[in-house]
Order: sequence, then structure tokens, then C-alpha cells
Amino acid sequence: MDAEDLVAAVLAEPDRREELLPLLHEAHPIYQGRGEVSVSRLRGWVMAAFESVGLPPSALPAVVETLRTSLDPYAVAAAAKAARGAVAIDPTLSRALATALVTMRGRDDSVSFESLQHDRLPTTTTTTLYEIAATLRQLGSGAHDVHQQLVEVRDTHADTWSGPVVQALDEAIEATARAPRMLGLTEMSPSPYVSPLPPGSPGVGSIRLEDQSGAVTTFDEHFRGRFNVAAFFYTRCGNPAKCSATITRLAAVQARVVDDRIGIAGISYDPGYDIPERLAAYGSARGLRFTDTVRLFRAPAGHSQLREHFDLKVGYAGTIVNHHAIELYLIGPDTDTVHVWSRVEWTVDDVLEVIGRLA
Amino acid sequence: MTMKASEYRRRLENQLEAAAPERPSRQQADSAERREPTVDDILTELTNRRLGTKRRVAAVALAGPRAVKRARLMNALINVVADATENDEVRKAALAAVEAATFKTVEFRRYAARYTEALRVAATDDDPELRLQALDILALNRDAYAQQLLAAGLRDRREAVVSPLQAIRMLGYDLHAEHYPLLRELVDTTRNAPLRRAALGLLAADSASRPLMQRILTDKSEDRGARTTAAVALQSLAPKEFARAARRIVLDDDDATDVRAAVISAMSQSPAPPARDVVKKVREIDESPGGARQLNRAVQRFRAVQHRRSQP
Repeated sequence: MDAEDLVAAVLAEPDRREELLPLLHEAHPIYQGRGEVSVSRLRGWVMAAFESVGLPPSALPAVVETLRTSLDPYAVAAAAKAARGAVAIDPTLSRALATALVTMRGRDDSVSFESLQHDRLPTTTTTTLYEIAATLRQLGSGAHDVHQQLVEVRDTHADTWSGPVVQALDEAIEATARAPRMLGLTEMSPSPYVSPLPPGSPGVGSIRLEDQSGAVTTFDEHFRGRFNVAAFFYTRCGNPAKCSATITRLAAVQARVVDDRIGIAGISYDPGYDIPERLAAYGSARGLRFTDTVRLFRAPAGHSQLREHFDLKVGYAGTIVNHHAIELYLIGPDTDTVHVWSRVEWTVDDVLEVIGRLA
Repeated sequence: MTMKASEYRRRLENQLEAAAPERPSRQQADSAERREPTVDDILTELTNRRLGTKRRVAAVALAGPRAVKRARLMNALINVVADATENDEVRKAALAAVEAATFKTVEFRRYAARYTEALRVAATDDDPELRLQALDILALNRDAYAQQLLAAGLRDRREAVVSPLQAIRMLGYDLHAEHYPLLRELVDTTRNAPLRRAALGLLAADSASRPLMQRILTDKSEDRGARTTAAVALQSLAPKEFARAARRIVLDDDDATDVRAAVISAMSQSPAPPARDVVKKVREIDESPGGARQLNRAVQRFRAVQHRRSQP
């Protein structure tokens, strides 16, 4: 069954909603070989279905990540629609919606969820900003925590938005004005935002890694014996909120870590293109100071094994990345992964706090 | 491949100027001085299909500069662009007027989504000029629908809404990996040299095209323009493989002069030191009398860079 048929089947039988969850993983076979635009559309089509069938908590990280980091009008509109299927009040979700409203302020575009195919003009259209505002309006008091932020967004940006968007935003502001009646809200348990540890792969230690200077080492040689913060990225990522921000934040971690028993590594998703010269230029431009324990790597021969080891959320069309999540790993001295920040916003303080706790 | 903003703006300004009304008669000028046209005046002229093209185009020219601050005017202009039953000349003038207004980025935001919808309609219009203009704008804005139209036209000429070369140029504004196999197929199948070169140029960022670039660069029977494009691409994709191929080409006196010149120029940009026999050969070319101007220039540039690098 292809993805379009599966979505149709789940829409007909909403109890089957969990069957859509694997399709949110970027490495799912349905995305392999497709281009960025096609992946974004297909994944958005899947996500938008959660509006009708209900949004399972385990889908929240993917929806929130899309709202926070995507610049694609269709993907963000789809995530906003998915958020309307959420069953519990979730401040992380409402904050992500408010963020998307600002991020997409100059990128509003006409989108349609009439059909997955893009080969003919639709008869019904909406816009990204309208979908975000409509979701906040529906969440109502459940999004009360961002009420003041919405007022500020309206005061700052709304005079440049279309009539329907402004009206939906005004209604969202009115709907979110009241605090929710339910007091003492309990957090979702377990939190959907805690990332599970990846499965690991037995032969990963011998994978050869080439660093930004062209020096070659192995995974085991570099990562064994100290804690390492390792992020995945690629130099031709076009979204400044993703790879560029990740490496910039790694540099901020480096600035705060005075102990060289803690290493910092970036590993490219794009080992064919990210030759040492590109890695060096990319890292330096973002403030990384390369040392023996602070390096950017590529694994030209062992990348697929790394993907398996870390369960990387990345898809490819040939050798080109077509979609990826934001992924940061804390690797322990025995080279096992001890903590993961996947799809979630991480700060330097978060990382240092976990290192302090585990080291 | 990307069109510069200044170039784009100049093109639009020319179009607007062409659409501007002719110099008014004294009587008309006196009348105009007496009363600035209102939004209603302009709308009446703009939307009245019984009026002649020239008069309606003049109304569009009047509406354009005012429209971004007057929603009724902007909506009317966008409606004209989107209306396939409208006069083509009026539509093209309206398109140019709305596009000019998009330079007021912030103020135009409220109309952007509707404008995109109008452009998508115009992108498959019967009028080739309107179609080309609309597609070009959509492609510059990375519109997925336009990219799908362009790629479909390259796959099947019967579906093409613009020429293959134009389609490649527009896809190049925002190229995605899904187009690489199509471009590689074009390189392998087309005999149209400029089209092939354009496709190769876009493949310069595709690491899977490395063997293709290497094959084309080292094949002396290949189109020389294609070899030159492949040289630049291979240097970016695989500097070591480029250096090996480049060495053979530079040392081969029988190889095409322009390809050797391109390879030597590309080697000048490389941070890696060239092989000794390459340096020696370049010196020989430089010191031998005569020779092609293009090759001499490349050789001199190469030697100047090497000299600079040898300085402490």
C-alpha cells in the first residue's frame, strides 16, 4: 500500500492512526529517492491527516519540530493542521505555533490539501499563516500561555498580512485570552519529547572517519575515553535554523566547556560532498576552534552504518539529503550513546546539565 | 544561473515604461491637472472590457504604483492576471505592475498568496510570453507547482510549457535532488549542445555525477563546452580526481586549447599545490612563442598565482 492509500485508509478508520507514525521518520523507505519538495509534500500530507484522526502524543515532536524549524509553507501549514488533532493542552505545541507565526510572517503562501498530487490547480486553497492562526483559535484557552505573544505579533506584523489571516489571528487572540479552567495540569507521561536511545550497531567502532584536516581516525579511536557531544549536519543545508544553527551552538558549547575530557564532534550527513576543505570552512565560519577533541567528520565508507547506529532521521535522493531532523547525541566514554536530543530544541545549558549529571 | 535583482528590476521598469500611456494632449493634460484620478476612476477603466487595449493598459500603469497601498486596485490587478478570459496585453501589463509592487516586500505580503495563485494560472496560459513571465517569477520564488511543470516538460516535450533550455534555467533557480536523474538523462540523450551544457552546469553540485563529469572531461571526442563545464564541476566535487584528470589534459599538447585553458584556470583556484610536471609544462607553454590567447592568459594567471604562493 502506498502512502496516499494508507492515509486514505486511516482517514476512513481513525483507530488506525498509529499506522501513520512510521511515515514521520525521515529515513522511511517511501521518502528514499524523492526530492526535497516531494518529501515535504508527502510528509505534510501524512501529517495533515492527524487533524481528522487525532494526533498521537508520539507524533508531537515531529509536528513541533516542523513548526519551529521548517521554512516550507506547505509543511508548516500541514503541521498546523495536525496540531488541531492534539488532545491534551501542550505548552510546547502552542509555543511552536506562535514561533511559526513569526517565522513564516514573510513567507505566507497559497497551499491546498485537496490532493496529494501537484499536477493540477486546486479548487480550494488556504494559506500557511491562516492555518497557524486557525489552530491557535481552536486551541483557545489551551494556548493561553502564548496569548500575550500573539498580541505582540499582531501589533508588530499584522498590518502587513491579508484580511483573512488578520481576522483569524484576532479570533485566536480572543479565544486564548482566558486561562484554561482546569487547574494543576499534569504533564503528559511519559513526555513525548524525551528521545529514546538509538539501537546501536556492533561494528561502528571500526568505521573510518575523516576530519576537517583530512586526518583519518576510527569511531572508536576518537570517541572512546571521554564524553563527546556529537551533532549531525551537512554543509549545504539550506535552512539556517537547522545545520548552521547546530554547528554555531556546538561552538557555543565549546566556549563553555573548559575540560578537554569532553569532546565535540559534528558528523556530516553528506559524506560525498562534505570534503575536508568544506568541513573546515563551515566549522570555522561558525566559530568552532578545531583541536584534537573538537572536530568535524565525514564517513565516506561507513555512513550507512552510522545511520543505523544512531537511527538517524535523514532521508536521501541518491546521495543528496532530502530531509532531516535536528539530532544531537551525548556519547559516553565507552562509546555508547547516553542521551539524545532528537527533534527537540536544545540549549547549551541543557547539554552541560546532562553532562554534569552523567560525567 | 540566478537572475540578478537589478537585472530583473530593469526588465520590469522597461515593461512598465512600455505600458505607460502616451503623452497626453494639452487638453487632456489640463484636465488631468484639474483632478487626480481616484481609485474608482482607475478601476472603471481597468476593468471595462469594452475599452481598447491601449486605454486599459494605461489604466494598469496608473494603478501599478498606487496599488500596494490600495487593496482594491491590487486585487483588481491580480484578478486580471488570474483571468484567462482577459485580454493578454492587459494581463501582461498587470503582471508587470504587480511584480513591480512586490519589491515593496513588507507592504506586499498581504497579497503574496493570492498573487502566487494568479501566477500559477498564468503559468499554463496559451500566451507564451505571459506563460514564460509567470513561470519565471514562480521559479524564482521556488514554487513547487512551477518546478513540477518545468520538470514534466523536460520529461515529455508534449507537456512542455517553455523551451527545454528555459526550463533548465528556471529549475536552476532552486535545484532539488529529485531533478538530478532527469538532468543526467538529458546529458546522456540530447544532442543539443547548449542544453547539455546547461544541464551539466546544474549537476555540478551532485556528488553522484562525479563519474559523469570525469568521463566527459577526459573524453577528447566530447563537446568542448561540456568538457569545460565538467572540469569546473569535477574540481568542486572531487578535487583529487580533478587534479589527476587535469594533469593529463595539461600535459597533452594535442588536447583542445580551450579545454586546457579552462583546466589551467581551474587549477589556479585550487589550494592544493600542482604536480611538478604540470608546473614545468605551464612554464613551457608560457615561454613558447605564439599560442592561443585564451591559453596564454590562463597560463599567465596560473604562474602569477604560483609565484604569489611561493612568496614567504
